[in-house]
Amino acid sequence: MLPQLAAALFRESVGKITGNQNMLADRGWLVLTSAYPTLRIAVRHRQTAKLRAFEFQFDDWNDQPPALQLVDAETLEPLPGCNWPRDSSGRWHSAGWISAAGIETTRPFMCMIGVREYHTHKSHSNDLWANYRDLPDYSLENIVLQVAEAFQKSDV
Amino acid sequence: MIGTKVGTIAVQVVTTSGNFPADGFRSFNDREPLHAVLSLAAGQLKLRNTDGWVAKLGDRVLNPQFSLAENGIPSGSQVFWGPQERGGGARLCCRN
Repeated sequence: MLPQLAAALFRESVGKITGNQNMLADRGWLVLTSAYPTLRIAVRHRQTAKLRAFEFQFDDWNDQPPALQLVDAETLEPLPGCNWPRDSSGRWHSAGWISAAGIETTRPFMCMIGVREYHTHKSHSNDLWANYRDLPDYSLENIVLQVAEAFQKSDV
Repeated sequence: MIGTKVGTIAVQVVTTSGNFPADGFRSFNDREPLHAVLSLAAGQLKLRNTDGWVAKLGDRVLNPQFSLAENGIPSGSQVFWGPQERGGGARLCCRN
């Protein structure tokens, strides 16, 4: 994907998010940064009222899915794993992933279709991003939505 | 509560692709099935595939087969509608 085209796709989709005040209010989102390739969105957890800032990197969108990490909303430093969401579904991995053969991912990550850390993990080498990238459910805005809704189901 | 005539419920369907109606609310008979309202929204918003999408009022998942009244949707509500997160998690992924 040409960088200019990836950036144009990014801006078009991000515009659907930033231009929809009703959706932002209804889902409890606040867009912090929306400059290609970075999209940072703070999400308010409806049950606990806790805020978490999600940083997506949409470089080379949509030839590859976005990388995701949680960051401190003030310093933009990566959020320590102890402050990542937790749940029983196994989507949130606060301590990275360590295989019997050695460390595979040393930092916290989210395991979900549409997130780069999922598709680049050897456990999912057969579940290619190419199978999803053109589906409406995996548009930029719907990936952000799915991450945010998984966060709402967590016990952060 | 948004004031409409008795027996009607005013809603706005909110999605990542836009809202129906774009501004404000549209009144429906309170016995209208939610799926009919969502189908109308899908057509207006030109949504390509909504299989497996979930409608919510806040965190509460609504039943599209139930009417607006049966779903307990107050008039003047925004019904959020979108895809559910899939894949990953304990069943497929990332265990030591």
